[in-house]
Amino acid sequence: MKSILFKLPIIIVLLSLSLITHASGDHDEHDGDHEEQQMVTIDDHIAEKSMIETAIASSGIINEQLKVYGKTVNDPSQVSHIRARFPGTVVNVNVQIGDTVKVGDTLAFVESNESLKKYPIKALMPGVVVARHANPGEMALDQVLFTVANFEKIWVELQVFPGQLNQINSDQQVLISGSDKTVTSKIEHIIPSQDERPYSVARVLISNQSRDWTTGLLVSGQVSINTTEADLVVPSKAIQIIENESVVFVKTGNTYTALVVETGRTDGKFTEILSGLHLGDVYVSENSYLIKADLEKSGASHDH
Amino acid sequence: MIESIIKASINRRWLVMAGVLLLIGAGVWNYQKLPIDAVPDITNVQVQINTEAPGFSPLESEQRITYPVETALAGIPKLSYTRSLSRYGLSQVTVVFEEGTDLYFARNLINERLGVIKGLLPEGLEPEMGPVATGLGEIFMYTVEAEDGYLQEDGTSIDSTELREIQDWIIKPQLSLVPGVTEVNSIGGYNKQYHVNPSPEKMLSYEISFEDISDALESNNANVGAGYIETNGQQILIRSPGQLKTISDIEDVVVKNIDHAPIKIKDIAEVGIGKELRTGAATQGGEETVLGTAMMLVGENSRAVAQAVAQKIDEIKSTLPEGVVIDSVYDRTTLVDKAIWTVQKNLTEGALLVIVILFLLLGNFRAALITAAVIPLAMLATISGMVEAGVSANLMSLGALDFGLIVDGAVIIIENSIRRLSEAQKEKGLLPLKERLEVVFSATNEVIRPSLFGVIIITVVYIPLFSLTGVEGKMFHPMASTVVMALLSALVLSFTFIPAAIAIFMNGKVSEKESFIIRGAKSIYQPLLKAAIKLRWLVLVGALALVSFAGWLATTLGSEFIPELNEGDIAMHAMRIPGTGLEQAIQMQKVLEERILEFPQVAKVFAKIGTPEVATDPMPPNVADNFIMLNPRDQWPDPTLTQSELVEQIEAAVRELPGNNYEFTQPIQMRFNELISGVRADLGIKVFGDDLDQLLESSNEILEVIEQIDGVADGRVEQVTGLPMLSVIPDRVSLSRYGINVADVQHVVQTAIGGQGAGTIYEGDRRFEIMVRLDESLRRDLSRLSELPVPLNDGSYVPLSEVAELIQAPAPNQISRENGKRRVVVTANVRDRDLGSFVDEAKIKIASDVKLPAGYWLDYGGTFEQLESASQRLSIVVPITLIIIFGLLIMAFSSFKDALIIFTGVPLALTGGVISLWLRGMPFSISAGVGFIALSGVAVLNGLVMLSFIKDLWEKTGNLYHSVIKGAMTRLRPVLMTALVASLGFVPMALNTGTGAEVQRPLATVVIGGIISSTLLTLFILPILYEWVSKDKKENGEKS
Repeated sequence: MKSILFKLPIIIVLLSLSLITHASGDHDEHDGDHEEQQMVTIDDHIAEKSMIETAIASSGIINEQLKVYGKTVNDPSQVSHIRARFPGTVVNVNVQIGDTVKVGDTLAFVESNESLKKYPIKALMPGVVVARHANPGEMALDQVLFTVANFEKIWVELQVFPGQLNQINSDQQVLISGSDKTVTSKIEHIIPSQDERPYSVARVLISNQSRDWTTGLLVSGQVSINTTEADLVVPSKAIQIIENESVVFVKTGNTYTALVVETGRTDGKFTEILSGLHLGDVYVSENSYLIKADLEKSGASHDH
Repeated sequence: MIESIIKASINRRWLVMAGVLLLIGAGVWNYQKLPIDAVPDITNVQVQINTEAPGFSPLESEQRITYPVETALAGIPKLSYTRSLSRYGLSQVTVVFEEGTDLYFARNLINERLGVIKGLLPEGLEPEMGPVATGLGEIFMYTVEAEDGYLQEDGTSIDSTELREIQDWIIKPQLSLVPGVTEVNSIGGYNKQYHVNPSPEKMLSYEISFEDISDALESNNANVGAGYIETNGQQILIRSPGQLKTISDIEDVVVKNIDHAPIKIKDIAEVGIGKELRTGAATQGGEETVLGTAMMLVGENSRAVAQAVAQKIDEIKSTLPEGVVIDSVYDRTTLVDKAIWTVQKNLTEGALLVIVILFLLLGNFRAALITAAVIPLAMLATISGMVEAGVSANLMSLGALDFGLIVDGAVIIIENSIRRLSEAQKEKGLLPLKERLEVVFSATNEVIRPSLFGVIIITVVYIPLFSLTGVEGKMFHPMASTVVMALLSALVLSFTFIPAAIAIFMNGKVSEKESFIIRGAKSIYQPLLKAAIKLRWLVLVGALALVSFAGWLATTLGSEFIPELNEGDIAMHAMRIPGTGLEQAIQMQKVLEERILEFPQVAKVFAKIGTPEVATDPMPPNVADNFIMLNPRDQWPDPTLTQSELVEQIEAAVRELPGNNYEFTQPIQMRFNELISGVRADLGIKVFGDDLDQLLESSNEILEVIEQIDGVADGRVEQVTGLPMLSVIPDRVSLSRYGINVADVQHVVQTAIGGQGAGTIYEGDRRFEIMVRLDESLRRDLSRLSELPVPLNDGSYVPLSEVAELIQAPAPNQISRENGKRRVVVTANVRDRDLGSFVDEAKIKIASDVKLPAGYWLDYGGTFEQLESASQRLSIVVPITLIIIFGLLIMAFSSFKDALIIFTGVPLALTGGVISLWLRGMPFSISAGVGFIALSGVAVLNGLVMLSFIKDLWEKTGNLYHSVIKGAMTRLRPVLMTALVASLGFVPMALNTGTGAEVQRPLATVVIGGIISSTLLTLFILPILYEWVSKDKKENGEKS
C-alpha cells in the first residue's frame, strides 16, 4: 500500500512532465518533393482561371534591334554659299530668307566696281534661302551673300559606340525617330568620328520632301541589326530561369514539364530555341511564371 | 484568529452586510474599468524601429541603416535582445526589452539614441518607431471601395489612386482622433504623385539633365513670407506665392533658356498623375482595394475602442464623396462579444445549476440563495482584484473559473449550520437570538478549519502555473491569478458573509428536509460502505488497478502545448517564391480569393500583400496575409462542421491552385506570431558571421549533418536568397574615358528607374510628391535599359552599356541579424524521439563534422529550450507544491498518516480525469493540466472534510468502526454537494461549442470526470484506508 502512496508525487510529476515534453506535436509540414521531378499538374479549368495559355512551338522571325542616338546634319553637297563674282554694290535683292529658289533664279543684281555694269547673281542649285547678307547699296566684296540649302535630303549621323560597332553594318535598315516623326532608311556608311571621339558615326540619308526634319535635331535610330527566320521561336516571356537554366514548360494532358532549352538569338519579344524544345510541342506562352512558382513553391516561406 | 473573525462577523452582522454592499459598489465600479479582450496579450515588451529607404536593396539597407541603428542601441538598459530585418526599401530593427519594462520608458530611451545617429544615416531617411500597440492592436479593418458601376462626371470610374487619397486625407485623419486609436495604417491603392516623365531624346537634344529638371521644379515651387510694412497706421503682411498647384503649372516651369527661347517642362516631358512604386497592395474578393487598419493603443479596452471606431466609420460614411463606400471587414467587437457571451453563458448556467443543486440537496431555499450569493460577490471582488492587478478579462483568465469550486467552502459551512440549526430546533423549538447565534458560530467553527485548509490547498495547487514563463506564462498567469483571487475572496466571504447572512436570514423555522436524493443516497451508501470495509482488499486492489490503468491510458493520449483559441475567423498566409512581383501576386490573389469565396461558409475574404505604409509587418510582395471571415455558423450548409474541418477543406481546395504555398492560422494568432517571431521549430541552429555566402554554405553543411540524425523531420535552411536582381556595375576605366563619375551614372539609373523627388504639390492639407522619372513604357523594358543614354558634360551622351556592366543574378532576399550580427537559421523538428537526446547528438555531430571559419559561431535555440526550461522548472515546482500541500495536511491533522490517506484522493481524482479525456478523445494540454490541478485541490478538500469529521467522532466516541461509518454517513451530503456543484458548475463549459470553448472544454471535462471518480472513491477508499490504518495503530498501541 505504501508503495502507491509514495508513487503519488511521482505520478503527478510524470503527468505534469508529460504535458510539457509531449508538447512538440504540431509543426508545419511541407511537401518538398517537387524539386527533382520538375513537373506539375494543374487542372485545365484552374489553368484557364489562372490565365495560363499555351501555344504550339513553331518557326518565326527574330528581329534584333539596337537603339542609337545621333543628330541630323546638312548634306554638304546640298548647301551653296553664293558670293559676288566681282566686287561691287548690291543694286537690288529679289529673295528673302525662306524663299524657295530654282536653278537659274536671280537672287540679286550687283553693279561691278570695275565695269560699273549690273550683273545677276543666280542660284545654282534648288533649295531654300537660309542666309542673306545683302541689301541694296551694300558693298558685295568676298563675303557670302546668300546661302541656299537643299533640305530634300538630309543626313543623320548616328553615334555608334565601340561596344555596338560589331553589330552595326552599312545597308542595315534603320528607323529614325525624332520629335514625333519617324522615317525608315538605311545606313549608308560608317566612318570614324572626326574630332577624335571614342565613337564611330553611322550615316543615314533620309528624304525630307515634306521638310519635316531640320538639322541639328537629336534623333534616335532603331537599327535592325539582324532579321532572320528561325526554325523554332517562342515568346521571350515563355522562358523562365530555374536554377540558372532556361526552361520552357511543355504541356501534356494536365501535366506541365519543365524542359531545359538552349536559347539562341533574341529580340526582346521573341527568342530562338536551339535545342530542348521540338516543333509542334505545346508550350506555355502566357503566365509561365505561375508554373515556375508552383515548382519552387515548397521553398516559399514567411520567416518573421 | 479565525474564530474571533467569525464571532465578530456574527455579532456585527449588519456591519458585514454594509461591507458587502461596499464590495458590490467597488466591483461594479471596477467592472467599468476592466479591460476586456478575447485572448490574453502574449506580446513581449518590444519596440520596432522602421526606416523606409525607397530604392535601397537589402544589402544597402543593412549597411547604411540597420547597422548604425543596431549599434546605437547597444548597451541600452533593460535590453533583452535586438533582431533586425533588411529588405528591399526597408530596415526594421526590433528591440525586445526585459519583461516588465515600461514601454514608454523603453521608447524614450530609443528615441534618445536615434536622435544621436540621425546624422549617420543617408540623407532624407528617418527611423521611426512602430505604433504603441501589441499583438492585440489590430482591432478594426475596413476597405475603401468604389460602388459597383459608379461613374464620375467625366465618365471614368474611381481608381485606386483616388480611393487611397480618400483613405489618407478624409478617413484616416478622422479615425486617428478616436480615443484609444494609436495608428491608422493603410495598404493598397497608390499614393497620388505628380509624375514628370521626360523623354530621353528631348533631354539630350536640349542638353538637359535630370538634375536640371528637378532643380527647376524645386526652385519654382515655394511660397515666401516677407514680413510686413506699416503704412498709414496699418500693418500689411507681405507674401509672395509661387507654389505650383496644377499639372499645367508644372508644365509651364522653365527648365532652360536656349537662345532666349525658354524650354519648358512640357517641351521635354509628359506631366500627369502617376503611380508610386508601392511596396504593398490589398485585395478583397479578388479585386484590388484600399485597406485601412485601426490599431489600438496598448492597454486599452479593445471592445470599447473597436466600437468607437465602428461608430466613427458610420459618421465618416456621410462625408465621403459620392460613389465611395467603406466596408468594415474585421471588427474585434464581434469576437470579444462572442467570447464574453461564451463566458457569460457558462458562468450563468453554472451558477444556476449550482443553485438548483444546493436547493435540492439542502432542501432549504434561503440557504441555497445565501450560498449562491457568494457567486456574484466573489465575482465582483475578483473583478476589483483583476483591475488592481492589471489582469484583463478574457477567455483564458475567466476560462478556469468554476463557481462550484468557488462556493465549496461556503457550501460546507452552510450545510453544517443548517444541520446544526435544525437539530437544535428539533430539540428546543424555535431558538432565541442569542442561542441561534451561538449555534451558527459553533457550526461554522466546526468546519472552518477543514474548509479553510481545503481552499488554501486548492489555491496552492495553482502555484506551478506561476512558474511558467514566456508565452505560456503570459497565457496562464492571468488564469491562475484570477482563480486564486476568486478562491480567496470566496474564502474570506465564507467566514464573514456566510455566518453573518445565516445569522440574519435563517431566523424562524429552519426547514431542513433530508431531500429524497440524500435519503436515497444514504440508504444505498451505508450497506455499500459496510460491504466495502469487509472486502477492503478487493476494493483497494481494484482502485490500484484503476489508477495503473489510467496511468497507462495517460501515456496514450496525444498532447498539445498551448491551446488554440478559436477566433471564429481564419487567417492564411499565401506564400509565393521570392521575387514574385506585386502585380503578379495580385493576379494570383484574384484566382485564390475567388476560389475561397465559393465556400458557402465564407462571408468575406481580403488580403494584404507586401508591406503596409507603417511597416508593422514587413512582408515581401511574395507573401500575402489572407483574412477569411466566416458566416455565422447557422448559415452554414452543415452547422456541425468544425472550423478545423473547414480549414482542411479550404486548404485542399486552394492547394490545387498553382504557385502558392499556404500556412493557416487565425488573425490574432498570426499577429502574435509576427511580433514574437522566435524560432518556431523544435531545434533552431543559428549561424552567426559576416559573409552571407559563407553563412549559407555553413548552414547547408549543418543541415546535411542534421538530416543524417535519427528522428529528424522538416529540416531546412532559412530562405535568405533568391531575389532576382539586376546590378548596374559602373566600369571605372570607361567612365574616365568619358570624363564622368560613378555617381553620375548611378544618378541617371536611379532617377530613370526609381525616380527622384522634386518637391511637393499642396492641395489644402493634402500634399503630394512630384517625381521625375522615365515613363512606364521605358522603365519597364529591361532589354532597353542598356541603351539608356547617360549625358556627358559636353552635352553629348554615351549609352549605359558603354560605361557599366549589367548583370542579372539572384541576390539576398533579406538579411536577418540578431544582437548585431548577421545570422542564418537552420531549423528542424523531431519526430518519434526524445528531444533532449536529439539535440545532444546534433550538437556533438555538428561540432565534429562541421568546420566553421574563424569569426563564425553557432547558437542553439528553438522550442526545445522552452520545453527544457519549463520541464526543469515544473519538475522543481510541482514537487515543492506537493510538499506544501502535504505540509498543510499534516498541519491540519498533526498526523503524517492521515495526510497520506487524504493524498490518496489525488491519484483517484486524476484517474477519472484521464478517463474522461480519453472518452472524449481529447489530448493533454495545459488547459487539461489546469483541470488536473483544480481536481487535486477538490479531492483533497473532500478528503479533508470527511476525515476531520471521522477523526472528531472517533475522539469523542472511541469506537473506530462506528465513527467511520457514522462520520462517512454524516459527511455524505457535503461531499456529494461540493462534488456535484463543482462538477455540474463545469457542465456548461464542457458542452459548449462557442468561441473560446476549446480552452475551457478540456479543463471542464477533466474536472467533471475527476470529481466523479474522486467522490466515488473518496466515499469508499478513504474510510476503508482510515479504518485499516488506524486499526493497525490502535492494535499496535494496545500491544505496546
